[in-house]
Amino acid sequence: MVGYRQKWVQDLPPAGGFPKLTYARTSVSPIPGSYIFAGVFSVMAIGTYIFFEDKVKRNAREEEEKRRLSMILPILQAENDINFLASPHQNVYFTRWMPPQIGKRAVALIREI
Amino acid sequence: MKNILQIVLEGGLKSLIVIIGLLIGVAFATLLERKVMAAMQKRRGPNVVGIVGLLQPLADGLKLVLKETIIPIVADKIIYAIAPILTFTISIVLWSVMAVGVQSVFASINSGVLFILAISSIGVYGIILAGWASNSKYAFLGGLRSAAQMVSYEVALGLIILSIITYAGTINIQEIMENQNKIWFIVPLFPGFLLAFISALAETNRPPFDLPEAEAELVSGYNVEYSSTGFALFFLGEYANIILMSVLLAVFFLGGIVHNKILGAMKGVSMLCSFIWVRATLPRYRYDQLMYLGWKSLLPFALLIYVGVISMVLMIK
Amino acid sequence: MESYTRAELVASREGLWTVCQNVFDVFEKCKMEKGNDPERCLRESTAVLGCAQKVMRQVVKNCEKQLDNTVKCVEENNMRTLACQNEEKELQDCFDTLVAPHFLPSNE
Repeated sequence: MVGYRQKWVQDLPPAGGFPKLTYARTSVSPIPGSYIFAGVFSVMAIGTYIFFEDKVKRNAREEEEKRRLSMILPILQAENDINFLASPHQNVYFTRWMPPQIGKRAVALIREI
Repeated sequence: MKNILQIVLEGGLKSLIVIIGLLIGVAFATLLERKVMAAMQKRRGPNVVGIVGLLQPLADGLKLVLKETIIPIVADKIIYAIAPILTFTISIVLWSVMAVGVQSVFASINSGVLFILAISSIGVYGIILAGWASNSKYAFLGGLRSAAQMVSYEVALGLIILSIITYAGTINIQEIMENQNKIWFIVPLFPGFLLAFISALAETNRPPFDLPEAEAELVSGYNVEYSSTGFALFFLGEYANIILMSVLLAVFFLGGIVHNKILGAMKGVSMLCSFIWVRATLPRYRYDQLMYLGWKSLLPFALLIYVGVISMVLMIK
Repeated sequence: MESYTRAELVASREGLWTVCQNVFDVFEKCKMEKGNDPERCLRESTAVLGCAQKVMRQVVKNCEKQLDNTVKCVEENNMRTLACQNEEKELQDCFDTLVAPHFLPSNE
């Protein structure tokens, strides 16, 4: 506070000096790091559980879809065979060509037994 | 069956929609970046040209087009012209498999993620060609460094994407979005999200990994010999890549963008703003620090995440 | 010999299976015994294809609208049939009303 009669005030440090500067290394968060890790991993575990519940149901649905598709397999295989025999089927390429996989439904039935 | 004329017209119209939408998005992404960075630095961005600066991209484009195109005499003219076109084309082609609606995809292929990984690896060619064809020592070295950086971080990004594919069980982009109906993948795979974010930053030459680009400001990036049109194409290609990476992060981790369009757009834009946020916040990595990070920190961590995901998925099979 | 798309075949799989089951089983037995060689199972292949063509021709002639609805639904769901129960039920009802006169001996 300057009185109105004073003309010039010397710019001195405040009473008691300036507060000390902290120049050492400090860590930012007051929460210990292990707590943060534990929290994140528990949230991840809950998320994984929710997702895998849904995933099991989804896998069951996909299995059902595959089974339905396998009911059609004989027609597709027969078409493929007849088209193959009707075409000039010689191997003009230098390849190790392998025939398509057939009999999947039969093989699957055998495996189920 | 449709006849050939109908097919061509339909394909042309769809591709026109994709390209024009992307170009408008890229133009306003440049403006968004400047405004957001300015807001983070407590100042306004460009606000002179349009109402709140909305015509700024138009002004920038006009300036770049009206500039004089300088071609170095000793540059290999054909490849010098091809390189920016290649980069820009690759960035646009990548958008053809991105689904923006439940049925609105330009090309609904069953292996969309594989397509994106493969084509984005071709984008590295544009940078190498640009640096090499400029026939300047600095540009050449800058191009090599930038290409090495992109390739290194593609490995980590590819591994994280592989974990996402294993987790979801499918390689179809729309199916990955379907799989996140119950819970977004960011919750079970949070470290994967962080790793993918960092790798996406480095993949698109974005700060804090933008040493090749920053050097173009100084003297030696891959695009130092390019002016006006070439530079504009590189710029647009880079921003198209950035928007693609942010939308991909939203698709893989934040639950996809098709079911609820406004929320999906918000997810994509929030990822884009995160990219800009990181640019405004962090200092630049030196090149050797960048390489160490890519190969010695991110790659082992990505491998670890992949092994963890595989073991978890095998348990429920 | 017209070809039908996979979506059409999957949509009408129940009908095809009830009519042509024996033919399919014979074909599969032949494949299992004689290996993957197409020439050795040629008769069974043609039998399978003929039976499928027979049924599908009737379905396309009589139940075209239901078949188209089901096929559209299946193709929109990436070849998933579990999402198309309603359309499939309609197709099945239409098939039952027209299977009876044509393939009566095999419909018990």
